[in-house]
Amino acid sequence: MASSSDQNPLLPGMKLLPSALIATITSKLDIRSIQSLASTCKTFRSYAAHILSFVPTFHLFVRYNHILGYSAIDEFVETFITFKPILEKPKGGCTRLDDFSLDFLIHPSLQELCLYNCADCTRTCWFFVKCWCDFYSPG
Amino acid sequence: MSSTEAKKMVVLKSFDGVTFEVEESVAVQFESIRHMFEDNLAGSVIPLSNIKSEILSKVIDYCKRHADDTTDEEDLKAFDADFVKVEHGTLFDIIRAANYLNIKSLLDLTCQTVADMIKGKTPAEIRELFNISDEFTPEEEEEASIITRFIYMDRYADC
Repeated sequence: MASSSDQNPLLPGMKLLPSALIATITSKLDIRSIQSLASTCKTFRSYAAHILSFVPTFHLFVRYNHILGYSAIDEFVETFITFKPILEKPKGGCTRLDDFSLDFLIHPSLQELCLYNCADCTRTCWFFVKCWCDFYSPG
Repeated sequence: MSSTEAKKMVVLKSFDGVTFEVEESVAVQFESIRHMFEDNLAGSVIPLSNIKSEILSKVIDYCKRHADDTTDEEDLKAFDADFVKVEHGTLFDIIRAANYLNIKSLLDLTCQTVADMIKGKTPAEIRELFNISDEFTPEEEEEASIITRFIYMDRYADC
């Protein structure tokens, strides 16, 4: 007996799985893979956004790519950038927060930023936050 | 009385009408129909209208092996690794069957297999792997492309 995908080679078998099963598979992926899956089609993008909305904390730091000569933000931030709508009120631990990382979080749609474990944050970091508040606050 | 005669047997019927006689010790792994055994329906035919015979046969093989107390852990791991080496369509059918029958270990195994297939692949590779058609608008496609290049800059750097 032919399987469903054998009958129609273009039938996307994974997308035909019940949503709970796709969510189960997605939950077993690392952030970078969730990001990749989300970039394949709208269906998986919505599942990824749903899964990521339950991520309770994230860590930020900048890494420098010596080959290409520019900074790349860590995969958590990359992912959150993709799903900017859920970045309106992000909350996160910042034990590894880099001075420049806030650049990637702060944008016009941001409404509220909640940071935990800020004891080691530098004055530059707080300066960025203050500038954001001054620039984007209504009035 | 032989040990074989003493074992309770259950008959499962696939949606294409094929029947499988299995020991109750194997069938009880099907959580979703377990209550039927508890209601002393052993011996009667239990229809599984969502599952094809080809898939049901594989699921029964899996449950038989996992019900066998004499199989050691290494052999079981080897069996599991071999079990999921099937075509994608078959794998997704097994996932649906495991979900319908509520066999947690099989569901975990098959979902993890699909997750492992996805891990480390670019969106283009995932699309090709699962025959996912392109649904994005040109603007969304451009955004996805930028993000992909950003994430996989180490791989694109060699291009």
